[in-house]
Amino acid sequence: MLTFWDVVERTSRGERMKESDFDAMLYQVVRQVIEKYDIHFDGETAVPSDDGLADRSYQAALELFVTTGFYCTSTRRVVRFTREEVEEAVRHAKTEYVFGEGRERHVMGPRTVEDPEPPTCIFSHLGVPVKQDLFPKVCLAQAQEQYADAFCCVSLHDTFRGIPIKSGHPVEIAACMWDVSKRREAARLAGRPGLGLYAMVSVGESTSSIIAAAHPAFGALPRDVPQVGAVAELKIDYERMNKVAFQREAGIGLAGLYGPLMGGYAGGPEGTMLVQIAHFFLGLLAYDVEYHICFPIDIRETCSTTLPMLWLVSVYCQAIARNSNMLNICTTMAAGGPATDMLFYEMVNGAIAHTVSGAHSVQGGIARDKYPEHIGTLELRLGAETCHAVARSGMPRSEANRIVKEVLARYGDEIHDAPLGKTFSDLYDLERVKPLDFYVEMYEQKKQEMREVGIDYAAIDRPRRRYPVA
Amino acid sequence: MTDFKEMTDAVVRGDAAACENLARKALEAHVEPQSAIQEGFAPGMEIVGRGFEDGTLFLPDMMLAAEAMKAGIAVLEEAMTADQAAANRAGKMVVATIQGDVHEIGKNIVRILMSTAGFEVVDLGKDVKVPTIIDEAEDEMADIIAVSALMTTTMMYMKELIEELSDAGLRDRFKVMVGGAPVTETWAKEIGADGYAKDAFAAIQVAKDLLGAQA
Repeated sequence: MLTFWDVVERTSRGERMKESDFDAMLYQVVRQVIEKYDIHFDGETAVPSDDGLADRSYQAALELFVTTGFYCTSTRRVVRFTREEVEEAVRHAKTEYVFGEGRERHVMGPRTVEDPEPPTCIFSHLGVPVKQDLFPKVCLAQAQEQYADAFCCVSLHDTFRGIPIKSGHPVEIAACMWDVSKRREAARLAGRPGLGLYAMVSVGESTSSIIAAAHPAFGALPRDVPQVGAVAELKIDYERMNKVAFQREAGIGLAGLYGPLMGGYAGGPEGTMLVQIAHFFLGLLAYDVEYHICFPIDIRETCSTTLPMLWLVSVYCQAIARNSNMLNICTTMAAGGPATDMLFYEMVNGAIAHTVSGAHSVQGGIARDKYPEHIGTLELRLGAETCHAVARSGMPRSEANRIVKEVLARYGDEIHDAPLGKTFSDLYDLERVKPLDFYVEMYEQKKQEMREVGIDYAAIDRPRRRYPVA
Repeated sequence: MTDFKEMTDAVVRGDAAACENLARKALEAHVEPQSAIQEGFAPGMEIVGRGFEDGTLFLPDMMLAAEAMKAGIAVLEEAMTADQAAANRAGKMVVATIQGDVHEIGKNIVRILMSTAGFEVVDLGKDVKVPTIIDEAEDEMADIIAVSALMTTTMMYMKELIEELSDAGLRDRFKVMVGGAPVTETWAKEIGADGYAKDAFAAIQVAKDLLGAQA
C-alpha cells in the first residue's frame, strides 16, 4: 500500500501542468462523469432516498479522481493514482477515532444511512472572530454544552498581547499556544477536562504554529486535532504536507478539511458533490488522514443550507456511508446570525441532512463566519439534539426530506439577506457564562416548533444500545 | 452587416477562436472597435455574469467567456488609436491574495469580472508579500490595489499594506480595495481601506466609483 512518503515523491515526478489548466481539466472531467453516471439534481429534493444515486456518485467520484489526480501547487505537478491504489487506501482507512480522554472519551465510528446510532456532534464556531478578552468565556460557553462530544470554539482575532495576529509572525505562535491552553482550561472549568478539541488551534495556519500548539505543556491532548486542509479544488501544497510529516510521527490526530465551493471550479451541485467525495481520496493519500471534515459552501450565498446545498450534502454523505467505512464529519455553514429564527432552522436542517445521510455532524458556521462575536450556543444545541432525535427515532430519508423542505420554506427566501443576529455579549450573562432567559426561551420555542414539524425529541430519552466499536 | 448577437453568443459559449474571427470581420466591415466591444462582446459577459449570480453558470464558464472576450478585444485593440484604447479602459489594478494566504478563487473571480468590465488587471497571484504588492503597483502604475484574504490571521496584512503605503508616502497614490470571507465593511473602514465589496460583482461598481467613472 502506498505510504505518505511514496505520495510525497510523486509530487516531484507527476505531469507538469499549469494550475489554470488543471482547473479546466477538472471541470471537463466533472461534466463527463456527471453525464456518464447520470448524476442530476432534480431541483426539488433535499434528502434523496436513492441508493442508486449515492452509489453512482461514489463510482463517479472515484473515476473523477483517478482521471484528474490532485494538483501540487508547490511543484506545479499533477499527482495521479491507479484505481487499485485508491481502493486500497479506502480499504485501509481508519474506522475509529477517539476524541478526548477520561469520562469525556468519545469514540467515533463509521455510520450508515438512516443509522439509529446518533452521530458524533461537534460544537464549533471556528472562523468567527473574537477578541482576546472574550475568548475564554466563549470557549467555556461551548465546553459547557453537554451535547458536545468534542469542541472547537472560535477564532482568536485582532491582537494578542497588543500585537496584531498575523500569519507567519512570532505572535501567531504565541497566540496559538495561548489559544489551545484557554480551550483546555475552558473544558476543565466546565467539569470536562478530557473533552476533545476538534480543531486544536483557531488562529494558526503555519506548520510552526501547529507544532508549538501541540506541545503538551499548553494543554493539547494527544488526540486533539489540527486539521489539514486541501485548497480548492483538489489541490495541496508542501506547507500542508509539512504538517502531516510532523503529526503522523508525533501521533497527533490527522483530519482532512475540505470545503469545495459550489459554483466554483467544479460547477454546480452535482460536480461539487463529486469533488467533495474525491477529496476523501486526496485526504487518505496525500495527508494520511484518520477522518474527514467537510464544509461545502455555496459560492454566492456563503452557506450550506440552501436546497441545492442540502442535496449536495445528503448525497455525498450517503455515497460515503454506503460505499466505505471512512469517517465523515459534515459541517453546517449557516447564513443566519445568533438568536435569529433562521439560524435555528439552518442548524436543524443541517443536522437532519447529516444524520439521516450517514455522517457525523459539526454544529458550525454562524452568520457566514464573518462577523466578530456573533456567537451563540443554543442553536448549536438544538442542532445536536436534532441529530440525536433523528437517529434515535429511526427517521427515514423520506421523512427527513419532508421536514427539511418544510423548515427550508421558513428561511430559504431570506438567505441572501440573512439577519446578523446578536453578539455573545447580548446573549450571555458574562459573569456566569450562562445564556440569558430570553435566549433560552427562544431556543425552547424553536424546539417546540420543530416538534410540531415532526422531530421526535422524546426519542433521545429512550434506552440506548451499546455502540459497536469496530 | 455585423451581427453583434453572434459576438455575444461567442462570448457566452466561451469560443475564443470565434471571438477573434468575429472581431476581424467587424473591423473589415468598418465597425468602430468600441461599438464592437460594447454592443457585441460586453453583453455576452453580462449574460454570463447574470448566469453566475443566479447559479445557472459557474466559475469555469465565466473564465472561458472572459478568455474568449479577451481574445476578441485583443484583435479590436490593434485597430484602436492609443487614445481610443485608453478611453476604453476603466482603469488599471493589481489584484492579489494577501501575504500568508493561498486561497484565490475569490480573487480570480474579481480578476475576471474586472477585466471584462474594462479594467486592465495585473494578477500578482497568492501569498503575495506586502512589499511586493506595493512595488508591483508602483511599477505597473496601477490606480487600484485590490487584495483578498480568507483567514483572520492573513487579513491583518491588509492593515499592514495600508500602513506601509502611508509610511512610504504612497497612500494617496493608490485606491485600496479589500475583500474576502472574513472581511467586513466595518473592518475595511477601520483599517482605512478606500473600498469594500461583499462580492465580486459589487466590486466592479466600487472600483468604478473610486475612480470616478460612469456606472
